[in-house]
Amino acid sequence: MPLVVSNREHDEAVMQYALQYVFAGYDVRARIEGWFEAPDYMNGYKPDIVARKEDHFIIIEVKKGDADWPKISAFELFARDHGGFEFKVIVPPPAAPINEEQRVHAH
Amino acid sequence: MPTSTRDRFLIALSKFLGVSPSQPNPVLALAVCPEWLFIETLNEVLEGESLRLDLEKFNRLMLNCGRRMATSHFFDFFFAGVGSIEKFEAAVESYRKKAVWLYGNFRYAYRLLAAASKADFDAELARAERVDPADYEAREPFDDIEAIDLEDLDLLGYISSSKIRDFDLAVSLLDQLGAASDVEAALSSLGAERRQKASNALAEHGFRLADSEKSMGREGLDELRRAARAKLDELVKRQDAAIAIGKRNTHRYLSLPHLDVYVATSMREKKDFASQHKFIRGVFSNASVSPLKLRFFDPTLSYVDDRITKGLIEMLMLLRAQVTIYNAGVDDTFGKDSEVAATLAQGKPVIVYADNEKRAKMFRVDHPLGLQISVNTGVAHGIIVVKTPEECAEMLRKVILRELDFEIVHEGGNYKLRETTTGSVVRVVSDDPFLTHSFWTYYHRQLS
Repeated sequence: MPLVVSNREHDEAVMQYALQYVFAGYDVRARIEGWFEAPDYMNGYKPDIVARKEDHFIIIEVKKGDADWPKISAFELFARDHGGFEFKVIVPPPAAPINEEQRVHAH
Repeated sequence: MPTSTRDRFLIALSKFLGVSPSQPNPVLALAVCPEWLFIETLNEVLEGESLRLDLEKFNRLMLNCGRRMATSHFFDFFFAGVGSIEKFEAAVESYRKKAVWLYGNFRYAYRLLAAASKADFDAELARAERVDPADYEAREPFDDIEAIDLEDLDLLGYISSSKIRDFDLAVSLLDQLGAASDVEAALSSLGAERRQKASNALAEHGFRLADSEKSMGREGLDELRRAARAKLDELVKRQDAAIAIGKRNTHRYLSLPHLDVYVATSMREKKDFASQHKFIRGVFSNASVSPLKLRFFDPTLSYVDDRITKGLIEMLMLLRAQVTIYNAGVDDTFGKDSEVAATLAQGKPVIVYADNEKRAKMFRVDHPLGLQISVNTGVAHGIIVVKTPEECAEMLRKVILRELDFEIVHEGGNYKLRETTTGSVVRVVSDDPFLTHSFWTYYHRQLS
């Protein structure tokens, strides 16, 4: 069955993960208008979250559906080509903490 | 004031030909033949107080005035049986109203209509002829569109959606605070701006976020979280239901075989949705309109969550509808103003509803959008301004059935076609021969 996440579920997930990184002491940019400064484009796409602590960057994309694969591929390539960048894909609902393996797939 | 039949005839003839009747010697302004010949022809038409006007004499007059000769069907339609100056004046006015309404140009109208074949002539005039109400009344009732509870209408709006989204995000924030081991540190790491935003979003729904864990307490935070979540869930449930109906309605609008009326408005606050909905109900349930079973686009009942798709759909609706109703509200907005301009540019009528005299006058007299050029024809189209839903319904019926009554007035160097009930100017013809020549020369060049 194809994955389809509503805008609300998606935004809630982005908010929850963005806050978890804020609470963990990261400098966070996120695509939540009015609450966070938006991330920059990376390989032509804007990720949902970019969390930074010193020289370590985490790119996070909350997956909305199967049509997200070009974007996910672009971020994977970006992280591969840029030192200090890590990429994570999250599949909502985001009830779990950031390290739980079932929720967070580190690439 | 003209007193003689001869003067009145010359003035009416000038108006018919699109020549300013204010010349000191109208004969000189009209005739291309020697003056004595024009007067001789004129004397054959005028017989004391009576007129002896037939096709032959009419065409001699036209020839003497440098105009092409008319067909018998043209003459019969406008001038058959004209035996008095009053009837001639009335015939000229009838012709001029059609000329301005259809073409915005007296000379062009004559050139086209006077020489048209019977079939073409009939087809042209049919565009200004009344429509049989039975054509509309015979249709099925318009009950395709689902209603949305009046209390929930605003949940489709972008302002309400934005507020609910912020509330949702603020509740998410409470959840995260609840899960944090050190709430004080978490609150502090949020920063003042985000804390204020969360506080505002919660306050919109009657909740208060304290400044610190100490003043809130862990139990207080949990209680706030539960109460806010319950409120959010209820709100989201209502919004989801309204959005589902709005989306279904949008798809129905997209597949309607006919669309008669587009209703342009801007809705921001809750009261805007309610007043717009009430206005639409007031117009379309009115006894003069409801029997026509008009298909109308009600923006309060339609939902699209993407501004580009929404824009495309609305432009399609504007293109399909015969007439746009513009609910002026308190402020002008780019969106609805554009919709009015787009309608007029298509050469279609616009009815503007302004609920007070000051605003009505502004649209009737001062508003720059009050007059727009139809892109296809070059004709200057104006708006019909109304002040009550009842008047709006009355005008809507007249527009749809082509029952509007007009008068032509000359004011400020322009001929204006005024709708008589509202005094609205719906067409304008410039009296300036140079402007007219330049306008049509370049207009047709641009179109070719």
